Order: sequence, then C-alpha cells, then structure tokens
Amino acid sequence: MHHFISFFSSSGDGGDSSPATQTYGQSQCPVILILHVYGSRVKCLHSVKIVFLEVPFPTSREAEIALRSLSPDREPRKGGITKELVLSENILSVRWSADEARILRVSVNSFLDHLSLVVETMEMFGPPVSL
Amino acid sequence: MTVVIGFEGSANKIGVGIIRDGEVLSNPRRTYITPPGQGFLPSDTARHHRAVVLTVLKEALDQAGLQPADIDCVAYTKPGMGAPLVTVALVARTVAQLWGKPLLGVNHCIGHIEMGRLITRANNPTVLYVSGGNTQVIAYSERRYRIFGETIDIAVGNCLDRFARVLKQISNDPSPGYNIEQMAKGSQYVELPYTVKGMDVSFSGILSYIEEAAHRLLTSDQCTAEDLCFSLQWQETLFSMLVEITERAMAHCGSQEVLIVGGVGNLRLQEMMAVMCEERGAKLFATDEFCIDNGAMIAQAGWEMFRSGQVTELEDSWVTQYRTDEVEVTWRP
Repeated sequence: MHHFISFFSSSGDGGDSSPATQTYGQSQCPVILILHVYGSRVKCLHSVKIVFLEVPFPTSREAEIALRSLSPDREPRKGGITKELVLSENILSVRWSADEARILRVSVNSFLDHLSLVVETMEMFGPPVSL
Repeated sequence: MTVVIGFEGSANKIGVGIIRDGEVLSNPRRTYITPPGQGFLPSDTARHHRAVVLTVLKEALDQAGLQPADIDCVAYTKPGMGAPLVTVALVARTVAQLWGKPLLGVNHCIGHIEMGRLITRANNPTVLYVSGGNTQVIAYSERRYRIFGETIDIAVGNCLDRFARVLKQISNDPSPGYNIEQMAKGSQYVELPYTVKGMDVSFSGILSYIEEAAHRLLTSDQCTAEDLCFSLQWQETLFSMLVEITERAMAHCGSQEVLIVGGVGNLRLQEMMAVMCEERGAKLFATDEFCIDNGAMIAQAGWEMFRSGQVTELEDSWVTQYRTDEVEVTWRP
C-alpha cells in the first residue's frame, strides 16, 4: 500500500502521469488496484494534484456494496480536497483532487485502509445474499 | 423473536454482541491497553480495532451459534472517537449489505442506559452516566433522555485517567480507574477543590490542582500516592460531586431510582450512591459486568429502536457527534 503513496509523492508538480498496477492485499484477494497520478500546473501560481484509482471487484454487486460502505463518511477536512466515487459495472473508481500533496496523501492513505477492511470483511462474511 | 447484532468501538474497547429478546447470546470484546503514563490516541486505537474487529465478529457469531441469516438488524455505535468509530461502522455497513439486513446507528449513551435497564430491571431511573468521555445526569421525560446536569469540561473518567498518568506507576490494565480504586487505601486526606456549579460539575481544575500538588507533596514526602488516590476518588471530591448532582436531579424529578452506567461506575461510587439512596428511601441499580463498553449494549438499544420501527439508511450512516437528548425515544411510553 505504501508503495503507491511513495510513488505518488515522488511525482511532484511535474506534468508526468503514469499508471501503476499491483495485486491488492493478501494473495487470495482478487482485487487489483490501478492507480494513476497526475500532477499538473493550473494557472501560474496554483497547482492542483489529482489521483485516480480504479478498483475492480469480482461482481458489480460487490463493487456497489463497497461504494455504499465507503461513501457515507465525509472528508474530515473542510476544503482543499475533493473525493469522488463512481461505479461502472464491477469497477469502483475514485478521483481525488487537492491543493496540497500532504492532504491528498492522508486522504488516499486512509481510503486504502478503509478499502482493505471492506474487502477483507467481504472475504470473511460474504458472498452477498441474493436479494 | 428479534435478533440484533451490535458493534461497539467508540473508545479503546472493541466489542460485538448479539441480543435475542433480552437475552445476551454472545458479547466478545478486546481492549486496547497502552503502557502506564500514556493515553490512547485515535489513530492507534483505530489500528487496534482494525486488526481484531473481524475476529471479534466471528467469535460473536460462533458463540451465539447463529448464522447471518438469523440476524434481523445490524446496530453500530456513535458518537465517540472518529477514527475508531469509522473502522467499526465500515464493517457494520458492509455486513448489513452482504447479509441483506437493515442498519441502525445507536447513540452510545443510550446503549448504556438500555443495557442498564435490561440487566437491573430498573423501571424509570435517574441515570448517572460516568465514563472516560462522558459525565451526565439523565432522566427520561416526554420521549427524550434529558440531560439534567453534566460536566462543563472533561469527563470524570478522563480526570482519573490523566491523574493516573501523573503518578506513572498506575497500570492501564484493565483501566486506570480500577487501579486507582485498588490504590485508594490511603488515610490522609489532601484537600482538593470541590467544583459543583448548579447542576453541572467541573473536573479540569481539580486535575490541574492535583497535578501540581502531586509533584510538590510526593517529592517532599508530605503524602503518599495512596493518599492522593484516596482523596481524589473517595472523600468529598469527584464521587461526592457526582452524588450531589444526582440527588438534586432526583429531587427535581421526584424519582426513587438511580441507575449508574459507564466505565467509572465502580464499587466505591456505588457505595457512596447507596448511602444517599438509603437516606432518601430510594433504590440503587448498577451493573458491574455491563458497565464497561460492550457490543451487547449497542445491540440492546438497537433492539428497542428496531422494534419501534427505526432504521438508518446507508447514506445517512456517517459517523457523527450528537447528544443523548437529540434522540427521540420511540420505544418508551
């Protein structure tokens, strides 16, 4: 997990953007994360940092459960960061944009912690019952 | 039959309990214990809960001998420390969806009150809720648990915990308050400020005073650590203040019952409260085992709420801070 974060931090304000892929969590876990990092200059004084994360789940139902478990809690900080969760079939996508790398790192880190707990809960107490 | 599973994790305990119509089927728990002289910080506590929550949940189901399909509602606690609460709420939300069951956010204090009422069978008591994060005198009236008096700064348990850190030799296992009670065998009374303000109490000034006095008196051998524990907990100080405001609330409500809930409800506090109750011809109720935060108390309050038709939609299940008297009590006449 920290692999991603250090990867992100080193990208700095430059215009580079590159994806990273890694099997998530324990070996039995089916989830793959795809993380894109963009650092781009907007106007001359203001830099905005963006992180894009894609989390594929085994089924769209599980992706939806993760979305609904992860979305109720608001960002603890007022302003300076936005986080958007979007569902597309079995893929949960998250897009952050923040003014400061520090704030972004905290939010991404805590999201990954929460995600891993939700995934582990699904592994131990799933699969979901049919509705 | 209604079966409710309750998740508790608002402070340093993580517990999952299952209640079936007033019967505790299981109630496993873990406590995050810090070294002497240290309190528990939100992020470390969340990490502790994160590491054990799924094991505790598994234990709760196994000990109760139930399958997820047997459960009717998933209850989880709030308010409390943000990071540990989110850990617990995430698991509650996820299993509620996996199992196709309704979710229910339960006020932590109301969990204590309903568990106390279940265990002691107290009918309509004046409640003294004393813990590491809360100090409130509560009585039920017109569909609310109304707060008649409370601390205007820190909680009584927080005062005791931080006093334990001053002495440094006091262990946090099982809790600083318990070990202060064991140590309170002194005989010399050190005079401390007594700060009842109307129906409210204040503990921060007492803490500052004893922090300063402890250093001065202990280094000059004018008193022992046992004397300080004795003075703080026993004679005329923290617990007397609590008994005083409880008695005043009883007089106001015409109540003849007292229920002590929360982790500070130790034997000495019960003893002092019993003296006051005897003088008034009132009855004291207290629970020892269920005083400390546990999952079953969240399940029990959840059971009452669920039976009266309350549920929490997932979108509204964010972890938040709200007071005891903000909850509409739909399950009592």
